[in-house]
Amino acid sequence: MSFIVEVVGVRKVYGRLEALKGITLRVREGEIYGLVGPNGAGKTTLLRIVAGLVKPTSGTVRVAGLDPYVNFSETRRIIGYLPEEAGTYDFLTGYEHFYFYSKLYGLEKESIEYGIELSGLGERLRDYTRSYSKGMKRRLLLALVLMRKPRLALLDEPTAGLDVHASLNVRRVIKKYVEETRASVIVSSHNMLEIEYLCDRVGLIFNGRIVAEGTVGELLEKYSAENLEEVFEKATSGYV
Amino acid sequence: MKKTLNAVLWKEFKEITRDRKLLATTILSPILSLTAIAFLTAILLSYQPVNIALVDMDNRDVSNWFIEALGKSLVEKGYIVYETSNYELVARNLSFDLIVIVPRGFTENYTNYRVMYVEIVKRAGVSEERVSRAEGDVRSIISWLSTVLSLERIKELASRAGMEEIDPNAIRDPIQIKIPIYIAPTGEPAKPEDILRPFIARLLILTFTFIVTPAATYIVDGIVGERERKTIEMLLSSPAGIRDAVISKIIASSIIGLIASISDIAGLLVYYGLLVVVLGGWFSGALDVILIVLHALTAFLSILVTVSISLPFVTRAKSIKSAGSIASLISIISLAFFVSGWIVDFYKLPPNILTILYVSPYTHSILAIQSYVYRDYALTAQCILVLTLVSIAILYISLKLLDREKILLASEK
Repeated sequence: MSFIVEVVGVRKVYGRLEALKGITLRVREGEIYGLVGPNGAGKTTLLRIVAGLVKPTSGTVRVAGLDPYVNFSETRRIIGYLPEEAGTYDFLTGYEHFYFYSKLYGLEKESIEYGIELSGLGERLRDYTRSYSKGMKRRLLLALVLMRKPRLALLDEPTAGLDVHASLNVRRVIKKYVEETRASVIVSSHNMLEIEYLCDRVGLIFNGRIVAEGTVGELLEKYSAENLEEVFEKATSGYV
Repeated sequence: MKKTLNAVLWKEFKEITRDRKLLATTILSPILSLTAIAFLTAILLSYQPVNIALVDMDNRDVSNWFIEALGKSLVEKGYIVYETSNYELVARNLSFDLIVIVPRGFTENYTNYRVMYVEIVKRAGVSEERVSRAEGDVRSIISWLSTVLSLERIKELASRAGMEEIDPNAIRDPIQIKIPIYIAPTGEPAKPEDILRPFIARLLILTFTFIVTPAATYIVDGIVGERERKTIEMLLSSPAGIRDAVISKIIASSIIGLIASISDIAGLLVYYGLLVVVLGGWFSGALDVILIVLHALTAFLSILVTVSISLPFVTRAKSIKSAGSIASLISIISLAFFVSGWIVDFYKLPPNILTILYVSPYTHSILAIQSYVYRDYALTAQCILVLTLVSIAILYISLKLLDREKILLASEK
């Protein structure tokens, strides 16, 4: 079985704070992996390490066999990363965002058309993004990440702060993208429903550690629980 | 140029050209600042009223002539003059800043060939600069009137001695200085613009402060602002990476500086135009094309140095406020140099002092302009070369010190 992501014994220390305490996880090709945990559990740090933006204190990370921090340039074509609180450029229109990112990644016109379709923003793409709602900005940013069809999409809290309709839209975009491309996705969230809807496998992260991992069905069975929230409660009880 | 750098530059210029507030402050700041300086240093000063009272306590023909001649000359110089014979009246009136008293016996002393004293009374607590200037004018007019009277006395004594043919000036001032002439650095008689060019050069040096500050502010907003607006993480994770992102910011801030430099020249024309209107004179020929190009080039290199020095600190700053403080500190250092370059002729400083000052790249910025004015083109070329090499070296070191993790996490630690 081939893995697009292999994280083995990764620790990250900021001064006196140990944000990650020896994380190990593997993500298969074509899989949507859900990283579930409360705020401050280490989800963002882990995704930044996989994206190559932050260097782990110890442990190894491989994306398609490459170290994303050391082989930063090579892994840019493989990884698409949507940060948790990503913003847009106020003085650029939605279309200009597509133009800008397509130039950065050296993409063809077809990619821009695909991104425009994914965003579903239609005529609003002609407007400066400072006039966009939070949901519109999130859809635009998600489309910017996915338009180049990365083999691995890292989506940090893609629906955080969005209303129900905007969240549903974003989830549909992610689902549609994976169905069309068979790409791998790691999506972090503290929304258990979202994870159940989207993910093939789930890793529960708490206090810098993966405390449980498996498919939603496996986890429910293992912890004799009715939903992921209950699983999370039982899985973390020994770590509190 | 790399495609990714091109793309980030395209984004930067779109943002700059659409940010009207940024453009307005960059363009208007030098024009408004120089206009304000022109008003404050020249126009207001020339129109500032000083009230002078002339008290004739002698009230006879020579004292009347003296008061009338002195009053007329002072009015011509723009002073408000009041003539009276009552000292008590003007001494108690606070509107009079300076009082000139002609005491009793003034006329008699003239006819008896004795010294004719005049008293000057200054009011305490009044702006010393204003009163000193008025006092200086009063003294120079009295000196001129004294000369007129002494020549009359010499003529009369010569007549009594039967020596009418002699020139009274030759008795009074046997040695005289002719009107001084100016020569250019080449030794040739100076043209009017040669006299004006050092003044213009000093102003050009002062205007560097209006160029460096917006450029430093832009780099702060470009890097820390991008982090606070949450746009930097996607940019850092793209193929552009940290170096292209930062280089594009430096190029953009230099462009901002160049816009400010063009605006500086416009501001300078406004400044000098106002002086010409108010004080009279000329300024055609004082600004030559090479000086303008040299100013723009030196401005660009000064910005590059400032931005490069700021870069390692700005990228590690926790917030836009702390980054702004760091950039302000570096701008203040440049300000200290450029203001002193406005006042002090660095070109004339002794070598031992200049050697110490050479440590600062801003000394080379100042000398590049001043040496050009003194037509020391070898030194101009040397300063530009040093400034270029120092800029590149500091920029290289600053870029080497960049760390994407530090930029990303500086505000979170």
